[in-house]
Amino acid sequence: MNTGRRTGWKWLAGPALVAAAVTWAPTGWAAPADLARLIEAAKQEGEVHYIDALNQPKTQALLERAFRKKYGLPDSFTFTHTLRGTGEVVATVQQEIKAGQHTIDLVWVGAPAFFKAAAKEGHLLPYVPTEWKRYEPAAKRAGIEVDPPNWIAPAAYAFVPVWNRKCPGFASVQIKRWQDMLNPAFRGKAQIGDVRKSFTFAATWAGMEGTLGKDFIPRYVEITQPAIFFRTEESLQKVMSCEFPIQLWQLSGRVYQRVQEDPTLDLGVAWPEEGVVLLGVPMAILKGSQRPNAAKLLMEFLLSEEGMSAFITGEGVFSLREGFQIPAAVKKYTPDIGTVKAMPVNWGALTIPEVRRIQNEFRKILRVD
Amino acid sequence: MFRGRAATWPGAEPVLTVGAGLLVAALVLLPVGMLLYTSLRVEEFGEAAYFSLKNYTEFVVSPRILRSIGNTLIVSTGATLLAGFFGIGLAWSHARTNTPGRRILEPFTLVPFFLSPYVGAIAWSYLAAPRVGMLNGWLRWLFGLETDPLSVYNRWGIIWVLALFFTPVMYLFVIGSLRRMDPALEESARTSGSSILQTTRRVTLPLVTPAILSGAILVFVSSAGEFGVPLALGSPFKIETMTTQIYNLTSGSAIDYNASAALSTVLAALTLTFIYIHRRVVLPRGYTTITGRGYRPSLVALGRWRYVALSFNIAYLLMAVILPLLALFLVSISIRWEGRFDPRALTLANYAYVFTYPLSARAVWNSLKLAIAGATICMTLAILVGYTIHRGRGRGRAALDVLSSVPVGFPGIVLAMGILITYIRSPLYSTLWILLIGYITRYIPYGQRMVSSVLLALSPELDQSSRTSGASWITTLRRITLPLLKPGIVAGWLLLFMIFLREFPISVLLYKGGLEVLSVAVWYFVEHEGAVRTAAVAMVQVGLLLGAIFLFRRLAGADELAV
Repeated sequence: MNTGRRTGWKWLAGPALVAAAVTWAPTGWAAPADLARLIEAAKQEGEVHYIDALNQPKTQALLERAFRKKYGLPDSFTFTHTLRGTGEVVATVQQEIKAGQHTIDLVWVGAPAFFKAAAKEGHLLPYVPTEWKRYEPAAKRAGIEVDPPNWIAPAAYAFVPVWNRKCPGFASVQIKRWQDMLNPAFRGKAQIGDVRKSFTFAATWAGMEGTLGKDFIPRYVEITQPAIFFRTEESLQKVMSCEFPIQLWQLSGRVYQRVQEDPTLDLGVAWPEEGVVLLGVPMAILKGSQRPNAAKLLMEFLLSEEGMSAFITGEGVFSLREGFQIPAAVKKYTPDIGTVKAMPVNWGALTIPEVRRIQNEFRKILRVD
Repeated sequence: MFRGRAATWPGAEPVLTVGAGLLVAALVLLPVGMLLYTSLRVEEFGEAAYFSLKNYTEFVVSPRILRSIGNTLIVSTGATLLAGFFGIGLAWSHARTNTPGRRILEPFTLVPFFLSPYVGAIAWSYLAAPRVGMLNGWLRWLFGLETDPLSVYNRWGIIWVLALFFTPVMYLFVIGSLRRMDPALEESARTSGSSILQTTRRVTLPLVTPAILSGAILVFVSSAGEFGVPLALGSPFKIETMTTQIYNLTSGSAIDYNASAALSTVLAALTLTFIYIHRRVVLPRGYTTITGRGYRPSLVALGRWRYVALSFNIAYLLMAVILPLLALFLVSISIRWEGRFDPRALTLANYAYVFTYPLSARAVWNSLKLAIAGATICMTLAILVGYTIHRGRGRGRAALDVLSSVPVGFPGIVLAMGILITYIRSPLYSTLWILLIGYITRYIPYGQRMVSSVLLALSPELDQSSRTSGASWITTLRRITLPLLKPGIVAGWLLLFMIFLREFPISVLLYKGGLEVLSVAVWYFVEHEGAVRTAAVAMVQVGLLLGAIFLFRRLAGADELAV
């Protein structure tokens, strides 16, 4: 009997495993057993090139070291990273798709509208890393749009007010709510992100309009007459130098990075009561990739414990990995994503034409061309 | 063996000259043609493309683009007027007055010509930005001011920096004309009772008017096509020009190559119109003041005013060279930049960072490689094209002359746009070759002009004598023509080397990860690194350019820049 039962169990095991695999694994899901073959294939390809809008050189160095170590990649393996603004990342990738000239294997940028359009046109290579299951629940809870196997989003960030307490008149500034930014004392000293060049600023604009009302940003513009900067690094430099000591939208991770470099900085970061717009950072492999195995391996790595740890230690943004331990130095500026109030955003409606409409609205309100 | 074959190869002349001519034609016509073609297409990502005039009838005439066209005209006109004021004044004081120290000051006046206007704009932001500009700090302290007296973040700031950096262009045109002028004309006016001012107004100025107009047109065209200065001082402060809009359309989230091509075509039409006016209207108006007898232009004794003239010279050098470079240097050796130089917080770590950070280290090498290869290839083509135009017998020489001059009328960013859409589907895309092609296409007129100016001064009889004595074309070129052209070739090569070291608009549009050059590294540092590291990478570029200027003067001589 026992033998028979055991035989029966074994007989059921095969179809059950297949059923489980079909249920849980979307197309392109990599089984752990494939990893060794993937590593070998990546080594054969000898190179991987990804483009993003976030990772600073130090973060890239951390990632590269950990990537090579984890998979035993030889020195001859080339790990290329291109850092551009969100709009420029999209422009570069679109340029390569249009031209059929692929130098980039993996794209990682907070522009879901682009990923939707690219997936619809069949420009993305379906692939889901084995560890994605650890990320999906948090992505769902945070309302972050993903579309596996076409594209996933293992990390997120939000734009929040940042100011320099060392600048004249800013020592006692307190920002608890977004409304606190509507302060006439900030006139000529404030900044706003360049919505014309960024999907993520456009999405933040859309979310804030929904929660704070359509008149919030026009009032901020009218009261503070802000300067417009695109890159978060450049704009934070303007805060640090007191040239424009306060800004509406900055990444808390950038503040963390600068304080790591110079602990004497005294920068304020606010997580306003009304909430923030949580922006997922999608990633996908391009269908035209010349090194698809190396790209898959890089994706596996970025979602691994080691990869995510290097990434968060470098960038100080939100990880969507379940149970991820945020480094204490990061936590000081970027709280646990579970504790952050997210403003609702209708991601489905945030298509490329809608982003253009928001950008035109920005032009109108800021009176800029 | 090879030398022997080449020396007697009868087909060398037509193959090399026709080949060079065809290559130049292809380099120029392909991007220009593609630009026009793309401007007439409407292509949305993922949708079917079609031909239409929509980019012109809807986009170019939209209020925001018309405003940027207006801004372009305003800043270009302003820069031309201000550069005219500085350039004419400096040229007159150097060529026709007894201003003390003018021989020492003269070479320094040309220094801004070789530096990057984009770096100049960054330096001026360290000097005159609100709250953190060094000059603002000094002026507030000196006069007890509550508010900042200066700001470069407006149209005036753009005009100011453009004028400072394009003054040498005006200066070169005017000083050449002043030095070639027969002093008898002025002397006659003076002996007839005219004062210095009356003589200057009634005799000198009218005689140099064609040179002033030539300089003004070139400054206007260069200012309209300038990208780095409005990018640094205008874009963040709601002032867009045509060049920044062209860039926005190719790099923002709303990428639109077709609209960008249409705007590029409009900008090219504007600049080409001015070049056409220059050739057809201004150049034929040059007054001949050169006579057969030798003379030295007489100098106007300024009396006490000579110290005013000296102050004017020093003030220009302070604003165009000394203050910007000093600001860059002080920021580059600071631990952090908060608007005040703190001698207790100095470091060389920013320079160490620039030379060890892969992107900037790579950028130095890429720039040097491109500058050396670009200048060499460009001068080789320029020699062959110049020879074909001035010594050749074949048909199409006039067409080649026009074709090889056309890129002068195309702003860098416009030509880069054409090159990008031409070569994007070729294996050249995303390699250093596409940058090299961009540099050569845009700047071949400079090399050709250098070669042509020497060729025109040489009698063709020298070549003919060599050929009738039995020497082949190659031998004549190698033994007679090239040695005589050497000064022009060396000067042209060094000029192109310097231009390529600081080139920005073509590089920023065509570079990809791994292909960064120095000016792109400066821009990258502006966007991704702090002021102190940006200043350090800018200083590295300035250092290389100043070294090249030193070499230029040593090898090519002081007069090689004369227009």
